[in-house]
Amino acid sequence: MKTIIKPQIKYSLADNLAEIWKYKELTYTWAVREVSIRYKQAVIGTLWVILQPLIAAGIYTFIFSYLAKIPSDGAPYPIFVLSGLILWQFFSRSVIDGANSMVNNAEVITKVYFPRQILPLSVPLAASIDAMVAYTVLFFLSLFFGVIPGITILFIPVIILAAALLAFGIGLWMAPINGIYRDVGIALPFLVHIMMFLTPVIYPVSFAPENLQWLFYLNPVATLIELSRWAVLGTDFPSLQAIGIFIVVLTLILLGGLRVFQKLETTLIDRI
Amino acid sequence: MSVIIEAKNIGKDYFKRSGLSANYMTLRDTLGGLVTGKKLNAPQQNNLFSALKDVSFTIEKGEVVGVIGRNGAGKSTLLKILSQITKPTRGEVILHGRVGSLLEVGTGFHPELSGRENIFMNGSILGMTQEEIRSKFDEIVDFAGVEEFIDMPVKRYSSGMRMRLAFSVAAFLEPEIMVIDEVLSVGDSFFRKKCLGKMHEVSQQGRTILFVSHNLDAVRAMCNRIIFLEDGLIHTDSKNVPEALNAYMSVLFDTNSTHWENKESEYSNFPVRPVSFFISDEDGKVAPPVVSGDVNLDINIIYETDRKLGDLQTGYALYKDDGTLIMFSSVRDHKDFQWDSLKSNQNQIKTRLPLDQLEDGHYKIQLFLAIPGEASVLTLQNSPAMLSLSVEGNELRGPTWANKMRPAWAPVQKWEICE
Repeated sequence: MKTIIKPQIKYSLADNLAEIWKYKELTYTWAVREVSIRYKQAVIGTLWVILQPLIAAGIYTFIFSYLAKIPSDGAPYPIFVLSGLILWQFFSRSVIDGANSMVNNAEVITKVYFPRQILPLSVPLAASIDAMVAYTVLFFLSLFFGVIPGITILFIPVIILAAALLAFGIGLWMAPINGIYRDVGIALPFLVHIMMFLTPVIYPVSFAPENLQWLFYLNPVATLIELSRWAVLGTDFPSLQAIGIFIVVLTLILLGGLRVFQKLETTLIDRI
Repeated sequence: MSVIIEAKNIGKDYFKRSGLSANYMTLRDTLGGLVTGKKLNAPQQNNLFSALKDVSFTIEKGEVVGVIGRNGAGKSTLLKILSQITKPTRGEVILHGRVGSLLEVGTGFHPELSGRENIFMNGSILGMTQEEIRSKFDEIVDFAGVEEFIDMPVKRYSSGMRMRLAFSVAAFLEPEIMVIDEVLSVGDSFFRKKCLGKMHEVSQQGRTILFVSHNLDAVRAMCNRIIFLEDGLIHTDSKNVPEALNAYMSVLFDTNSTHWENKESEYSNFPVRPVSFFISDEDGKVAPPVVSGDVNLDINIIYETDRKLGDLQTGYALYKDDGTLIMFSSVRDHKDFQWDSLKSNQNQIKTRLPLDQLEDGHYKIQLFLAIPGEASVLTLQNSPAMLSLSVEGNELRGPTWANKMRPAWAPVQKWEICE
């Protein structure tokens, strides 16, 4: 085995991906670590994953359905809101934790080498466990409300994967930038929170004025939410334009992210 | 013998940062800089400092190389480049083998995880496969001596146990090239010995080791080659270990002054920082380098802290010019030291130098500074704060003073006649 360490190496996507693949075991171990730490620190542990969506559904239903009278396209509001909210929370947590993944592990990345991309990658991987549990809770809650999900529910893992890739891509951009400019990490949760209201999570697409609904196509997360609703509630499948835009945006964010990450990595390590 | 590491003209520059909190910047600063036209980000010549200037060497398979040098000489930077943590600014390194780096033991340890989980985590961060860790798991646990606690969260371990567990994982790494940075400076001496033994065993198997340490005894015991870095360059690169260590000692002790100042504001990340160290006369003025044995001189230490300290290990060690340690003296020695009167920011403390007990000759006086159990800033092994003083003559001595006997300790004692 021969390794050459030089100031600049020519960027190659294939090498980059091969390097990440080589460290798949560490990525997995790291994700497991994140999951275990989370539950060891929580007093009620695993129960929390089940309670969280239920409590959120309760509060959102009370405020947005009961008080604000937001429609839900015919589905019971708790089921409607959870079918979007679970995916949103998975996405937002992955983005925020992904952006902090380098800073939080500064001690590790300045002491040992491994492709640092696996840190933002392990974040959505760890979060997807929670999302799967929450979807299972949602499944039983649907039955309780008399909504029987169709065969489309089996697409949920694919949708989570798509959301994970998007979050990973954004994490690749944000993690090194956050390491160099710490205020990004402070502003990000706020921006993500605003994004939630611009995404049809607590309200259906039809709630927005018809002449503005096309804007949702440009929002890849809106497409993901629509996919989740399709899988759980059997609503309309998103339009082909929306899917097309999603794929293009995802590809650009991922490829750009891998490149940016590689470029900023050394600067980050020297400054962190 | 085959070459395993080739380093060709490597150099590494860093941006200089002033102040403690400025090791990262905010987007606000950069955006503000864009508006005002000041480019904070631009590499300015005077803003750069070279941690490594131009370093070249080749290491052959099976060599155990000790990398020594003063703080800031570039040792850690070199190891970081070799272990691929950072990239050099210039030059290139070719490695013909898998590198395992151990810049800190217990990387990735998490207090909430059990000993077992941490072994797997730490092992895989250091580059072991799950399979490898599984096969060595029992040996690792046994080496650390923590069998009973292996499923307990590491936060309930004593710091010694944590250290042993962390080191044990590292000890079972089997890369072709092993890079180790000052990890043996911690832990109890029994375990430290065990570790040195283990490392010796590792080197016997033909593995290449690069070992950075201030612990010259460990370096002497383990290494068969020394690379001595000074100011970002190789000062000495030799297979004659004693000779190279002597070269290092003579640079370390090469001072000719009764006044030392922490000019580079090094040690800024320590909770206690040396400011200056000097010998003064009774008026508080810096003493001349040559004095007679009957004057009164004080050793002065000025240090900074961020808080009021309840315990501090500082003082000086006195050596003869051949390196023999004659004595040391610490603030902790006397029970009456007024700990309550220490200020929380900067303090100056002093003590009388027992000049009247010294034989004529040259002396070296070294500062040490530490917070026990928290931070070792300057130790006898690494402290560059070294003063020198020549003692010539003592008015109190009788004409037949046994000058030629040259004892280490030479108090001029008064004799009395018994009734």
